[in-house]
Amino acid sequence: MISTSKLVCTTTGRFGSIVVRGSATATAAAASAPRYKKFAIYRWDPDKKGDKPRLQTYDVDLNACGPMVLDALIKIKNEVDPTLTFRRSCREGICGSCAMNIGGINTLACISKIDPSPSKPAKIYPLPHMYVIKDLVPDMNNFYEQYRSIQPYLQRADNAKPGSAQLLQSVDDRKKLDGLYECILCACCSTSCPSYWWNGDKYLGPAVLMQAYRWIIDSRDEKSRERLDKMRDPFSVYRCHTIMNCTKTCPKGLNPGKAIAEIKKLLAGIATKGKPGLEGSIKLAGP
Amino acid sequence: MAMFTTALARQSYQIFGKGVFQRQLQLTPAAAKWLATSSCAKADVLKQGEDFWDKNKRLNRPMSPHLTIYKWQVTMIGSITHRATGLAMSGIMSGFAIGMLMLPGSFPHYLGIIESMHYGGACIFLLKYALSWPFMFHFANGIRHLAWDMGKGFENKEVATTGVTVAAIATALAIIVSVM
Repeated sequence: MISTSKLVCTTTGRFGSIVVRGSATATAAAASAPRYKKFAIYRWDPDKKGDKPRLQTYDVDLNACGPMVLDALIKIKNEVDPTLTFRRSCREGICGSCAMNIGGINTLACISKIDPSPSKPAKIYPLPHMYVIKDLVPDMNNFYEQYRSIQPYLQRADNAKPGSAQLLQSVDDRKKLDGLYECILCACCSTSCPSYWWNGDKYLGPAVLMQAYRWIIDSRDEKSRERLDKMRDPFSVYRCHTIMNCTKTCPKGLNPGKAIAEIKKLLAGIATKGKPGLEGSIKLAGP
Repeated sequence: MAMFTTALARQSYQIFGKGVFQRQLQLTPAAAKWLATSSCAKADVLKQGEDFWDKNKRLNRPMSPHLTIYKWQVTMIGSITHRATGLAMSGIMSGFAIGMLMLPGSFPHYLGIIESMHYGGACIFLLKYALSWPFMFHFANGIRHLAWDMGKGFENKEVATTGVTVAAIATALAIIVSVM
C-alpha cells in the first residue's frame, strides 16, 4: 500500500492518472514481494579459540535495504547478526574506512552498488593479503608505517617554522598535485597489487608511492632529491612491475600506477622536477 | 574524561608518531593505567621489542585471501602471461642450448629425424605456434612496457585496449610465422 502511494506521488505529472494506474499496480505487486539477495561474508573471530576463517551467508531483502553494499552490511549487523565486524564512517567515499574486497575487486562498500541479480551471492572479503583482526577488519599498521616513512609533509631547506610564511606556487605547479592529493589512503590499490602481496614488508606499494610522488613533485618542497635517494633500492619502488591492478581498482579514480612511473622516470634521470614557476614567500603577520 | 583522552593521544603518539618497528613501546603512567583497565587494548598492543609481524603471528591472525579471490582482469592476466612467456622462453632456450651441447649429434641431424617422421602439416603448425606465440607476446608486450617506462598509456582504458591489442598482435604474428 505504501509503495503504491509513493509511486503515484513520484509520477503525477502531465500524463499522470492514466499511465500511472497500470504501472503502479504492476510494480506495487513486485515491490511488496521481498527481493532476496545472498551475501557471503568472510568471518573470523579472534576470541573463539582455533576459529578457522569461513564464509557466512546472509539473506537480505533488497526492497528493505539501501542501494550500497555498506547499507546491506549495516542492515545485517543491525537486524541479523550484531557480531559482524567491519569499519565504516562517512558512508560517502571520503574517509576510506570501509575498503574491502567486493565481488573480487577492492573498493569502498559505501559507494559500491549492490548487484541486484539474485542468482549469484555477493562475496565480501577483507582487503587481500592482510592480517585479519576480526571479520572484515585488517591490521593497517604496516601500511600506515610505510606512509609515515615517506615523510608526508612539506620540507624546506631553511627549516623555517611552518605557518610563518605563505609559500608561493604558480597555477601550473599547483595543477601537478591534482589527481595525487585526493587520495584517501583506503589501501584498495596497495592491497590489490600482487607485488605488494608478496613483498609488502619492503615494497612501499602504490598508495604510499603516489603520496611520495605528491611530495616529490610539489614545487614548494625542497627535499625532493633526498626523498628520491631514500627510494634507490631494489624494493621500495622497483617491485612495481606495472601490473596496473592499482589504477584499475582505485575507488577515487586516481592513477597510482602512473605516479610510480613518474617516480621511476625521476630516479632514472629521464625526467627532472624542474624549477618552481613561482619562488619566494609572503611573511604572515602573527595571529 | 580529559585524562582519558590525553592518555589516548599519548598512546597513539607512541605507536604512530615514533613508528611501530624496532622500537620498544614506552607508555606514560596515564597511558599504562588506561591500557591496564581497557579490555580491548590488551591483545592489540605491541609487547616489548615486538614488531608488526611478530605481533600478528603471536595473535595467530589469519592472512586474508588474495590470489584465489581477486578477480582476474586484463591487468593481472597480461602481467602473469608476460612473466610466464619469459620464463618459458628462457627455459626452452637454455634447455635447447644445453641439450645440443650434451647430445652426440648435431642440430641438422635431429632436424632430419623430425623431418623423416613426416608429421602432418597441422602438427608442425601447432608445434611452431606453441614456440612462436610466447616469443611474439613477450615481444609485443615488451614494447607496451617500454611505452609505460616513458610514462605513456596509463589510463584504465589504454591499459585494457593495449593489453587486448598486444595479445591479438601476438596471435596474428604467431600464425603468420607458423604457416611459413
